[in-house]
Amino acid sequence: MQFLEYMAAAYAVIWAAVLAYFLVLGKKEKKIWEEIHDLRSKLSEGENAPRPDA
Amino acid sequence: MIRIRRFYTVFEDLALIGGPRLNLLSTVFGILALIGMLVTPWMALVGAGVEQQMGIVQKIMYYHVPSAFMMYLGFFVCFVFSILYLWKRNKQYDIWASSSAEVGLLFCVLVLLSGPLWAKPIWNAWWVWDPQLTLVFVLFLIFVAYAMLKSYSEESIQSAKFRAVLGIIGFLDAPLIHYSVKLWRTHHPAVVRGDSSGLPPDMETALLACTLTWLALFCAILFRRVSVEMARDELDYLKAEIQDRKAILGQMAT
Repeated sequence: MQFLEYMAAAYAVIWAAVLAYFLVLGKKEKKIWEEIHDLRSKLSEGENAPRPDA
Repeated sequence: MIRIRRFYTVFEDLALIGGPRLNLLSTVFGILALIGMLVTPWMALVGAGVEQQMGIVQKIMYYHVPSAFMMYLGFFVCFVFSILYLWKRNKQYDIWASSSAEVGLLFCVLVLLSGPLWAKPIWNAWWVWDPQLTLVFVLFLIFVAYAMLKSYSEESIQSAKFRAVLGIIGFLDAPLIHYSVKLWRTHHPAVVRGDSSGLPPDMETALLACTLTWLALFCAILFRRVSVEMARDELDYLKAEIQDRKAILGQMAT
């Protein structure tokens, strides 16, 4: 079939771009939630710690 | 006037959806998109007939055209939320505007990648400086500037205002792209113009199925992107909270 390689390349590029975006977004989300959990635990530790003037 | 009010309240209601519900919606649309992704290649490659002049390469249209529709949709959502942000100064509107701009940019990249792969065998050139292609490239550059403004400037009201203005100006290019076929002489084929697509029923069905799949994919990506941006907003809030507590503790210690 003529020009089959162009069609295959177009389909591959589209799926690859969508997949890459999803992976980047997932990685970004994971990093943000890790930071949020870290900061939340720091804040709760701070609340339980003795006050410097006590 | 009432219609306009009803129209923007739809977007206002959309902005009220919380992170967990957005993730749920993203999953639902993601599943729908996945089903579509499994079905539509068969519809486009086997179900729809082969165009006589262009041959099999014409089948790129089944993903190129829906990508262009989703590009318009992304930038349109950005346009509406940018207006709402400038009007009401609600942070949620900025989050939705910047997220939809990014998703629109993703689909714009898909248009710019799939277009030349169709053009090379048909026009014997990867790219021609045709009005429609040039306007799509200008739109891409405007929203790349938008994304850079978001990434490299400090999160402030001023930066959000600049982005909102850029989002509004950028979208004004979209109708020009659509009507450039009528306004100027262009090489680009007119696939869907007016009420009828001008396609045979088998091709029209495949194109419609691909467009619906792409719409589900668009919603899945947009809702997930907004949810990530909301989480980032919470992260900034927590960082500010820790800074405040450190400052208070420092004052108490001295």
